[in-house]
Formats: sequence, structure tokens, C-alpha cells
Amino acid sequence: MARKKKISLSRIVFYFLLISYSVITLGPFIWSIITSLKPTSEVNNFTVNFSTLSFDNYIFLWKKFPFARWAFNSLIVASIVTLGNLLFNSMAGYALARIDFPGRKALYLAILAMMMVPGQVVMVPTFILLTKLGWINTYKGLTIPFLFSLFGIFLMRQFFLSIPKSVEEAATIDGLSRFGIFFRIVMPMAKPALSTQFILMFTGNWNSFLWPSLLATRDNMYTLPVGLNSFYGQYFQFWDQVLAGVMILSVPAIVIFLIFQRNFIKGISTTGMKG
Amino acid sequence: MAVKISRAKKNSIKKNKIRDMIDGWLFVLPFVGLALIFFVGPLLVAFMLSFKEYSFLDSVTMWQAKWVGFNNYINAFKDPTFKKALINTTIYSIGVVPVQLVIALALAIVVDSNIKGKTFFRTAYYIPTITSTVAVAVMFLFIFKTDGLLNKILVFFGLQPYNWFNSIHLALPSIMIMAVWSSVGLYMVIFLAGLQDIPTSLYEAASIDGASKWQKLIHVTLPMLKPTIFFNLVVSLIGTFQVFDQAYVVSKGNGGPLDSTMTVVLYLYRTGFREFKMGYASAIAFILFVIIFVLTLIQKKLFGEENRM
Amino acid sequence: MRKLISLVLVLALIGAILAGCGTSKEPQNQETSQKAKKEETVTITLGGWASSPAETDLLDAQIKEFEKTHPNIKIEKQVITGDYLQQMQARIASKTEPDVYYLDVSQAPTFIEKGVILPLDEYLDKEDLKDFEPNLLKGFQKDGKTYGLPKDYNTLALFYNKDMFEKAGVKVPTTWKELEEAAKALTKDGVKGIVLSNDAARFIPFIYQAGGKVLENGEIVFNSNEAAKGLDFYYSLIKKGYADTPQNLGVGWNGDALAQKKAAMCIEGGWMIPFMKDAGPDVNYGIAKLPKGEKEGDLAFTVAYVMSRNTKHKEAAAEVIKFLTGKKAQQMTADSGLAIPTRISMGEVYTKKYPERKPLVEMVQYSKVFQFGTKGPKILDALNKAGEKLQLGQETDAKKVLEEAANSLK
Repeated sequence: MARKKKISLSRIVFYFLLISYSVITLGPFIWSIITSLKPTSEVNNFTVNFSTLSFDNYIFLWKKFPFARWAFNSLIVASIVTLGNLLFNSMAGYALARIDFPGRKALYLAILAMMMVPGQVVMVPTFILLTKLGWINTYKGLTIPFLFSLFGIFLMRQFFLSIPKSVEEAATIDGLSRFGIFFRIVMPMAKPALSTQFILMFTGNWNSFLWPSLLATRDNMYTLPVGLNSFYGQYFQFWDQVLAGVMILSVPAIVIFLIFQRNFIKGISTTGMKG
Repeated sequence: MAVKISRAKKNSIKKNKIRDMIDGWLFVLPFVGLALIFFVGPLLVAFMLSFKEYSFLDSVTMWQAKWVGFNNYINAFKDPTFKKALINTTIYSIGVVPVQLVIALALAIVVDSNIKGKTFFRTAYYIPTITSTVAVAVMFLFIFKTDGLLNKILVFFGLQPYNWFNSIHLALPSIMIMAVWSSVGLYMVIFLAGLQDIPTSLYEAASIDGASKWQKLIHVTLPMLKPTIFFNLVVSLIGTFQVFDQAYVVSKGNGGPLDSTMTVVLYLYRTGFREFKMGYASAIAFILFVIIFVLTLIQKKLFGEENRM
Repeated sequence: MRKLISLVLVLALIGAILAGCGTSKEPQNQETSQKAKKEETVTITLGGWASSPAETDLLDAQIKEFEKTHPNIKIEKQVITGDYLQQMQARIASKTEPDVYYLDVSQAPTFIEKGVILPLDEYLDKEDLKDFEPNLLKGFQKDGKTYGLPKDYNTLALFYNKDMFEKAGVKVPTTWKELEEAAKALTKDGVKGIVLSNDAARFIPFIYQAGGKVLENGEIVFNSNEAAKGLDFYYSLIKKGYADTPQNLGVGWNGDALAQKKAAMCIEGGWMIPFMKDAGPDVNYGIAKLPKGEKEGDLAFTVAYVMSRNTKHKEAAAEVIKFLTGKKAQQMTADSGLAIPTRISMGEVYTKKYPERKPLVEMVQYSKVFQFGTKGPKILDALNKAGEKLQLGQETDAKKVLEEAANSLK
């Protein structure tokens, strides 16, 4: 009975809007997939000639370049950086939101301020520093400087602000230390926030190009975006090949999103009930 | 007796304070250590450069480069291209920030509710964020070109086609549309996580009071979402004021036609890395920094962020 | 599921740390063991930007050939991805740039003035230098010293659709007047006679052809009447409707317009040849010299190998530069047809093998290199804006926009 009622005009309009917007967001993506399957001479046609579609571009990329090595590098770098960020950003964000320590306000302002400096001006000084450390073309250089993120800390602080204090207070009475509270109580409660951070950090790092392209000077240390760029040449002329590369980059990021978006379940209420 | 207790209490408060101080700094230590080495150091160097005449090609080191006092800053305020870039960036920010946040919030509320195909919609709306900026720009060049998809749609509906990227009036709005399209997913995901943090008990209480869906949104969701809204607002503002990639790709790095897509960071990049005036570029960066900082402080006041914690 | 993911991540982390230790030590070990074995073997790093797979193969083959004849010198190729100039500045500032690297002629004045690259004279044979196209070599010389040897080059020429020309019964234009007439006759059925981009690197040849100049003794002189005449002619073709910009034709660049048969002519360089093979295999096109105005005039784009001021092995680096611009390497370039060799002797090999491309080589004698001093980026920016004003119809007077451009540079 109740179900029948729901299929009203407003419901149809609502779904129509939702689907229209998803066409807008997915359209370019689908178009890219199709183009990546086309031969170069047909890239500019809007029609799709199914008989000429092929995986040639992908096979070409796979055969011609050490893809497995680059994908491995990308996975290693993105994983280490993401894990470091999950831990360090959450710790710092938690302290800024919950612990009343001297210098907290100044630190918070400093984080906001540092986010506002255009990366282009600190790029070369940072690069010189990493050169002096001898970290060029090493995994150390590709990961350690990126183990924290100002954006991530700020994000975690805002999330921790909105988590009720009552649970922590109860834990304090139980005699748990700060670290105990943080790892046993707060982190499990922050599942939606953590999975969001995971998605953002992993996909961001997976796609990042500027730093890896500076730091990986030999092709054995290339990450996927750098490797793909190493044969585009100065002019983007062969859209089909370029877009095949883009697809290879996008798919793992989408998989990560699909896995982690499941954790957008009501974090607090369910934990509270289960606990 | 009474005196003893209060002394004990005082002691324990004092102890707690010390404990908080140690814990607090221990928690932020990994970040502070890494940031001091890899961010603050280079930042101070960049700040020093803003008072010097220097290019990375120079044979003298940064420390030996010639000091020019406030000249770089003074020159920036006299520079018509910088002014134009600042105006463009401001227009861009005013246009993009509210639109992208409102769409993102609406989408987040929708994909958080009990609709069919939730996972599909979430993924569909997030996909533009995953795709790298350069790839997005490349796709948009195709869609916005004169015989591209957008114009074909316009013609289909009997409207006039435009030359989007080659018009001094439309080039900037085109980039703005591109920015909204590609970043809405990011803010949606953050809003989504913020929505999860709102205890269901609050909605249940509101239902008992007989609140409508709309009333729940105004009286429960939005107030509880305040920290997340503040976060998105600040990040979106910083991001839009630092816009670079889209403008760079669309105008092939020169901010054209006729500087209509010249943004502050694009100009900074041009002066620093193409015209080899890194001192001047650094000064531009710090002027931009001050502008964003002031705007953020205003937002912070408006949101009453001070009183939280 | 979540446990599985975390397990995978932990394993990845451990693997990475182990792998990280391995790779970071590897090169050091190699170096020390090599040093112990052979004291005289040196490795020269060679930096260049990313290019097409075919060009990459050519360079790899040249390197192989070099290592065969020079057993004591190894070449390690480094592809600089992303923004070449930006990346190179980071590398130069940290003194980690390659020993030998590509340098575009437009950047040469700045690199020479800043002392980033070393003069090569002490390693060069004066007689052999005469084999290089003098117009190109000049781009890398200052005060009688040579700072780089050009490896290949391109000039601008007229690429035209033979079928369209035949249909319209038009002859290949050799003068401005004929160009305009041809463009007019070819503009029909939604096709423009010629595609002209808002780009100083395309209209400067017309300024030269009209007798104008951009720079003279380091001074800006593009606000002359002659220069205005050249600019005016270029944009008059658009105004009269015989030409249009690639953007207005809905393509990415001039080459696309020819490949997609949206224009019958375009002004581009030798990079069109491999492009057309892939993007417009069914277009029957020809190459002709640029039509002349008052006189002949053209731009040449060239890239040289230069030596870093920070190199530790100057002699070996010079050997690399000399070999890669030498007769053997350039013969390989000529045979591949990917670029035009900069040696006069090898240019003949090239034109013999690819007679239809002769116009590209012929134009070099009328060419100036694409280089406008240390203020080059600003000058080109100002000229581009001048062109945009005419094309967008904001101004109609070429002389006026050039005056404004000159004033903005003061």
C-alpha cells in the first residue's frame, strides 16, 4: 500500500533529475572510454563505429612500456602515503579538536595559513632540500615528505568536533589513557571520516603527477601518471592513446572508491548500539 | 580537611593540564616534525626570495642573491596584468564556491537518503573528482569546441552555438563550469561523511516532535553539519583562489584570449618559471596568501569557530 | 573484506620498505663496483622531453650507436616529463640537471646570459662547424662562442590539400596575392581556404615577408609600418572570410583542420608529416614554400644539445654532443624522416630520400630562428595579444595594436 503511494509525479521528477546529473558526470567518462578504443583517424567523429573499436591502444601501452613496474610503484607509494596520512592526520586532527594543550589555537591557524601558500613557490626549495638529503629517485623521497596533509588534518579536526564527547568521558572514567581512548574508542567511531580520508588520500596520491615527475628521474621509479606522460610528447596529438592512459589511471581509483564508500554507514549510532 | 581536598583537586587539575600538554604535543608531533622540515623550511626560503631579485638559473645561490626590499611587492601593485589576474580570480571564486557547495550538499543529502541505486549515484557523482585535472580539461576542450557536444545540444534546442574558449566573455565562465563539474564530487563525499556523524537519535526526537523533512533539514541537519560546512567553505575558497590547472590547459599557459583566463597562480607561474623572475613570483604568492588569509579569518568569525572546542 | 584490505596494505607496506632499501642502494653499489673495475668509464646523463614512440626509438638507436664506438662512455637517458622548463629550473637550482640536455632555441639567450650552459668551442672543429646551417647555429652563439649544436629543425611551410586544389582549379600560391585568391576560391562547402591561428609563431613570417622585424640590436621594432602590413594581411584573410582560426573551426590546432578537411591550407612545420599519417590518412596533401610578400621570410624552430655548467665530465659530455649532432647520427635522423638534419650535407640526404619535403629545407635560408632575446616570452605574449585584438574585432588597425604592444613592453 505504502509503496504504491510513493510512485508519484514528484518522485519521477526527482529520479529524472538524479539520472540527468549522472549523465552529465558520467558522459565525459564514457566518451573517454569509447575514444580510447577508437583508432586515431576516427577520434574526432561523434559516431561510434563498433567494427573499428579495439583494445589496440591498451595493448600498445602494455607492450611498449614497463607498465607492471609503474603500477607497482604507484601502488606502493599511494599505499604508504595513505596509511601515513590516516594515522598522522587523525592524531593531529584529534588533538586539535579535543585536547586542550598550549599552542593549539596557534597551530590550527598555522595549518590554515600553510594551506594558502601556492605550491609553485615552495616547490623548488623543497626539491633542493630533497636533493641534499639524497632522496631523488627513491621511495623515501616519494613518500616521507607526503605522509601528512594539511587538508587531511583540517578535515579530521572538523569531523572530531562533531563527535559527541560523552563516549570519551566515559572511557576516561574507566581509566583509559589518551592513546587508549584514541585508538580503541575514537578511531572506530570515526569510520565514515576515516573512509572518506582514505578515498581522498588514495585517489589524490594515485593521480598526483607534479611531485612524482620531479622526484622520479629514472623510469624504474616512475609512477603511472609519470610513465604515461613520458610518451605523450609535447603535443597531445593522439587522443586515443592519451585517453587509454587516462582510463588505466582512473579504474583503480574508482575501485577504491567503490570499496570504501560502503563504509558510509551511520558511524556513531551503530557503534554506540553495538558497543 | 576541606583545604586538603581543594589542594588535591588543584593538584589533579594541574596534573591534568600537564598531561594534556604532553598528550597534545605527542599527538601532533609526527605532523609538526614533518611539516617543519618539508614545508616550513622551504616556505621561509620562498618568503626570503620575495625580497630578492632571483631566478633559479642564476649562478649565485638564493642566499647570495641581491636584496631589493619591498620592490617586488610595490611592482606587483603597479602591474596591470596582476590586477587583471586578481579580478579574474575573484570573479572565478565568487562564481564557483557557492554553486559547487550548494550542489554538493544537495547531492550528499540525496545519496544519503534511502533512494534506489545509491551506490551507482555516489560513484557517478564522484567520478569527475577521480579523473585527473588535465584529463578533465582535455575532455572539456572537446565538449566546448565550436562543433563540440555542447554546441550540438544548444543547436538541437534551437539555441545559438558559441565559441566558448575563444571568447573574452565566455572563456572564464567555461573554466568555472569545468571547475564546478569536476570538484562537486569531492565536496559531496565530505558532506556525506559529515552527515553520517549526525546521531540518528536527533532525527528521531525531531520526528516525535512532528517535524517535517524540511524542518529537520533546517533545524537538525544544517546546524549539526556546521563544522563540515565550514571546512568545505574554507577549502573551496582556498582552492578557487589558487586555480591553475584548468586555466593553464585551456589557454595553453598564456591566460588568453586577452588575459581573460589569467589567474593569479597562472601569472605567478608565468613570471617565475617562464620569465625567470622568482622573487617577483614569490611576492605575488604572498600577496595572494594575505588575501586568502583575511577572507578565511572573516569566515571563521562568521561561523563562530572560535567558540567551539 | 576490510581485514583483507588492511592485510594487503600491510604487505604492500612491508614490500615497499624492503624494495625501497634495495633500489636506493642499487645504483651506489653499481657505481662503486664499476669504479673499482674501470676507472675511466663515465656515465653521461642526457635529458630531453617526452616525445613520440618513433622519435624515442630514433634517439635510443643513436645512443646505442654511440656506446658501440665509445666503450668508455655510457649514456643514461632521462625523460623530463611534465613542464620541461619548470622541471629543468628545479634541477638546475639543485645542481642535479643532466650533463647534456635539449634546449629550445627560444630559451638559448637566457640560458647563455645566466651562464647555465658552457661554451663548447674548445672541443669543436671549426671546419666541421661550417657544415651546420648558419641560420640555425647562430641561435646558439653569442660573442663568437658556440653554446650548443642544433640537432634538428623545422621551418614553416604551406601544407595544402591537393584534391581540393584540383577541384577548385587553383595553382599552389607563391605570392600573397595568389594566396588570397587561392584562399578565396577554396572557401566553399563549409571549408575555409586556410586556417590561421592567433599565434605570433605563425604570423611573424608575414611580418618578415613584408620587410618588418621584431627585434633589431635587442630593441623592439615590430611597431613599424612594414610589420603592420604583414600583420594586417594575415588577419585580413580572416576578416574577408577566406580563413579562420582553429578554435572557430572547432579543432585543436591548425594541423587538425587540414586532417579533418575543414581547411584547404595550413601553415605548419615538419611535425605535420607523422601527424597526418595517423590523423588524416585519407588526405592527399602537398608541401609548398610559404608564399612571399615583399620578400621571402620564415621562422625556423630548432633544438640543440647543450652542456650543463655543473657537469663533472666535460670532455665526455662534449663527445656525446658532437656524436649526436654528427654525421652518423644525423644520417639516422635523415633516414627516419622524423626531423630535418641541421647539417647541410645531411640535408641533401634528407631531400633526396623525401623529395616532396624539399620546401621545408629550402625555406631555411630565408628563416630567422624563433628567438627574441631574454625578454622573448613577454614579447611573444604582447604580439599574441595584438593578434587576438584584431581577430576578435576589438581593433581593426594593425599599426595601432602593434604600437600598444610595444608600449606595454616599455
